[in-house]
Amino acid sequence: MLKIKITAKFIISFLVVALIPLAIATYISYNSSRKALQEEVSNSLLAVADNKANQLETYLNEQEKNASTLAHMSDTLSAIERYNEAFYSSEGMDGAEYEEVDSEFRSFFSYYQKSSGYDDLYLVSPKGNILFSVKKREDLRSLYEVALYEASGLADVFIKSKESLRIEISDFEYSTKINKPIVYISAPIFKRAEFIGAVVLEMTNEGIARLVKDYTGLGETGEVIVASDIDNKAVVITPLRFDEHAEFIRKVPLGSKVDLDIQRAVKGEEGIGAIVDSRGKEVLSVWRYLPLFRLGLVVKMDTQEILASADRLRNTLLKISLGLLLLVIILAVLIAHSISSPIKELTKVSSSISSGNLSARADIKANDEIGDLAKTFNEMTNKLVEAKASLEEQKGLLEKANKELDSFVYTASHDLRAPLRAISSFAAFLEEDYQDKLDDGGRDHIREIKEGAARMNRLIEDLLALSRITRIKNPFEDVNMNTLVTEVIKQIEFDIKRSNVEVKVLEYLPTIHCDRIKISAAFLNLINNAVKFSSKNNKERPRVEIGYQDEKDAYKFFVKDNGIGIAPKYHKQIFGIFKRLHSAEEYDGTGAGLSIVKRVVDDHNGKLWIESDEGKGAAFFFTIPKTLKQSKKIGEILVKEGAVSEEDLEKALEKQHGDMQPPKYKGETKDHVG
Amino acid sequence: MLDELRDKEKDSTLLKILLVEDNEADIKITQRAFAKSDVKNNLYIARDGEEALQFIRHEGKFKDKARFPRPGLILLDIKMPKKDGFQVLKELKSDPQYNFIPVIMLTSSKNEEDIVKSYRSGAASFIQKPISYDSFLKVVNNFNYYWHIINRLPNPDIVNDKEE
Repeated sequence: MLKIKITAKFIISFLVVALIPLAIATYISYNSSRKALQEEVSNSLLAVADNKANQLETYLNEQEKNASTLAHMSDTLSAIERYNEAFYSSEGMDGAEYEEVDSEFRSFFSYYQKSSGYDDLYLVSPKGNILFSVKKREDLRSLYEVALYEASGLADVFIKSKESLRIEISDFEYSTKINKPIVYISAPIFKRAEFIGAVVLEMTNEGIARLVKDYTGLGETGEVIVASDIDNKAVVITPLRFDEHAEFIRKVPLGSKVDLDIQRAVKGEEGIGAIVDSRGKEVLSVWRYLPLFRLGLVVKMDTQEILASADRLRNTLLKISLGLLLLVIILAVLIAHSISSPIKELTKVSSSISSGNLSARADIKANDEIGDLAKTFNEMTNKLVEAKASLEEQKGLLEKANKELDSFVYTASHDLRAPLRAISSFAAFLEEDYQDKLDDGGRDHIREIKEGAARMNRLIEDLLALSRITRIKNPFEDVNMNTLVTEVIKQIEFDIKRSNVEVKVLEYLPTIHCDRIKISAAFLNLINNAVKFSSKNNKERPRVEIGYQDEKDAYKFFVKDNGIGIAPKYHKQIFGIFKRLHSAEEYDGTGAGLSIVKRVVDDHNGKLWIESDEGKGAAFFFTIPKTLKQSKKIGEILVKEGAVSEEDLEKALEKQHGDMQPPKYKGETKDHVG
Repeated sequence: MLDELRDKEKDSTLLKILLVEDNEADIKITQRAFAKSDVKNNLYIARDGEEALQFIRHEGKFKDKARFPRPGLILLDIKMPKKDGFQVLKELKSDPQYNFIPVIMLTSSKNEEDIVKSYRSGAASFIQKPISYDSFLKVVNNFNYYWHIINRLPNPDIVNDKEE
């Protein structure tokens, strides 16, 4: 499984808890501010555009009105009549008559032209001849001629107003004479409803440009464009904020993909929207149409600028987020460290303790739950040390007791026997030396003394055997039970034959991992008992059966006989030392046998029990756990006692070999007991 | 075989055995068993380890070499006051003058440790005293038969003369 460190967990959870809401808040505020800004800018753009459109319209209306007023002035009327007469006289424009008329009216028109800011002012005869021009345009005698050969705004607008009898305004055109865009306003002149000519004002774009030039409320990138549809192109007719020489140079072919706002404006549409201009930049644009002069007006601003403050807000928020992120990570690391470092310390200390260094203590002074944990841990370790000390003490006591027992065994085997031998021998001497003086009763007594001594000797022997079986640990080995049982039977062959007992091994017995000498003693005692107690069966031939059952974790061995059996109420006590149910006369033996069997089975972590009833024979069962588990158990005890390391135990168990045996007691006998 | 046995009995140089034993009863039992044995020996008694060494070295009350001849075989008990069997055995075996004399341990115990220690220290044999007199008698008979008839022992006096 993937092991995620506490620090990582803390960082992740802090990030989740802190950053997700932060990100959401940032997104929402950025979006709403962006929206609000867009709306605000749209509104202000609309206002600017409408204002501009109004100003332009007012200005342009004024120009039309000027033309109209001029056309209705009596001076104009008489002037055109007089110029007409003089122009069509025999001498024409060069004659004295024309000169007289001209001197009379020129100052008036010249003054008007100058004061009203027009580039030029013409009087045109109904036939289309230019009768008068402030700037003396003598080259243009007949507008009809001009109209035939070149596209002249002046000719066009005159012809139109002559036909419609109304004020007509031409498209803008670029004048190569003054290098400026110009427009003509032609106003028909009537005398008693008769068309007697027209006054034409030639106007530059300067007035419009002046109005356009005011970029108030349009920020850094705001632009105002006035364009006219000329020859299927939207032609810019005023200088631009960022391009002074755009007049009649910036042209947008109608139907192209950029500057849709300009295209729409010159086509007479009105609207607002985000579009891409010829620079390839996105702009927010408002377009309007000025019908009188057929001009398109566009007021626009770069989206980038509009959203700049929103972007600034976003950047600020991002910076705050980043700062918070850093703060969160630092906090997470600090908190995780404050939690994990004591845990690491505890882990270190506990592994140090488990590797045997009981003096190790956790040095954590935190005044919180972790501090409490460390305190408890240290207390636990103290208890462990105490427990170990008391265990050592008890071990020492046990060793001492064992030594005392050894010395007792030694004394018993030596000192107790000497007087016993004396009793037995001197009874024999008595019998020998006083043969003649003893009657049968005396000889009986002597025999009883000798037998008593022999019995006493057997008791001592059994006691020693039992003591030895308890203390001695022999190496475990793989032992073929078949061979072992056969050998045991051979040992008591004499008794078996004498009692005419049929001893049968029911099946081929398994090989088990055990203490060979002890298991041998157990079988010897069980078979011996079985032979003994079945021998007096009068109904059928005494029979002893030995067999086993393979159970899941253990082998279950049994020794059955068809002897006298044991009533269930005695089943518990028969395994106690020197417990006898029968007199020594009936069945000889000291009663140590089953105690020995019990000890042996206990030593192998097995179980021993009897199934029997009076007169129905007896069956003794005992289990021996299977090799691996058993040596594992012993190994675990050894590990607990610190005799071997856990790794060594595992290695040994892998080999499944009996190397991990408890140490053999030095100098102890390995010979047969029982 | 019997002829040989009779010859030996006639011989004034019967095998001289030193019994080292502190227990009076055991001394009496052993003496009686040896007396009853089919093969006769001269049995001398030492009642503890120190006495045994004095006897062998002709020291103290055992100065009279004629009365207390050097034994050809020693029967040695283990548990004894003053000096125990092992100490006696060690001193004898470390002394080139006496280390050729076979020492047979005769004791009540059959403690494995004692057996190993005895042989390590140079004992020639280890015998456990049986409880019943009949059995003991059998043991003594067998003992004598082996050590006196079957086995060949050096003559202690000759060895010493030559060495000295």
